[in-house]
Amino acid sequence: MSVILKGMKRTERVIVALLVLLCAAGILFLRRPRTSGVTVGIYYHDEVYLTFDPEKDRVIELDGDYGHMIIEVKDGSWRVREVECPNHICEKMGWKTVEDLDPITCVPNDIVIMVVNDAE
Amino acid sequence: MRSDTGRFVRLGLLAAMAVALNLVESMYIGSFAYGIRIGLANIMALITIRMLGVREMIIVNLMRVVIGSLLRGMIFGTTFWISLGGVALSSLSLILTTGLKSSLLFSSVVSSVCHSIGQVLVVVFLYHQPAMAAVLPYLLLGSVPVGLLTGYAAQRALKLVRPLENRS
Repeated sequence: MSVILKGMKRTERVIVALLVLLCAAGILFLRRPRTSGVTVGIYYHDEVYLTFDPEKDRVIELDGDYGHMIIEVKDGSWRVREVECPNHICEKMGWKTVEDLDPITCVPNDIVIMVVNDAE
Repeated sequence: MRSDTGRFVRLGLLAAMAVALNLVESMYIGSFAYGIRIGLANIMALITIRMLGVREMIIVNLMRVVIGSLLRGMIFGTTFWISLGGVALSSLSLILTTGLKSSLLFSSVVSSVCHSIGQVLVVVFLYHQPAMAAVLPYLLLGSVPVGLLTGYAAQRALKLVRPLENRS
């Protein structure tokens, strides 16, 4: 490694080191534990149909373009328990928590479930 | 380099090697976590800008994206635009760092970092998913060692090629 770094000027090494530190800080920031004050939204036709607090256990039922969908909220995570659609992809996506940035998507029903806001 | 023909031959060879490296990498190495790739083809961009110049480097980079995706049969698909975005930003940064007379290694790191940023920008615009920017810290952290690796490879290659320069 030191052999490789020899080819760089001093200021360049400082810039690269700063960049690495910045990235590490960014990762730590993204990974910080957070559970409270988060709202999850259910989007239907690109508009918020309903929002819920992932900390409160509940079962939400709604109808999409294709058929019925049952969403289960439990212990800070949520999933699609049952859905009427050809592939059941959203069911297979399983439980999601605040840490997951990717939304649960059901294309046939045009329903997307994702975090809408952080209170922090 | 004296003759135009010599220049064209070199440009052709470098572009061909960039395309080949691009394909070989995606076939045999692929990507690591968070989609981090080594970006072996970037070695050719680094060599080209030092050997032939800025214009030639842009040609080599464009060739590798266009011909690379043509050979995969996925031209003008999503992956094409993503890699074009990456290459555009990394080419720009290469021109900038070369203009500033920075070392090859630093240019390599910066261009690999900019490649990641360019790709993420395209993804954010294509999918309207600003949340995708959250992978940036991981990607950039991976880009640094990868950039050092390709920069080192380019350095070694240039050392071997330079003595042959004046022969044509």
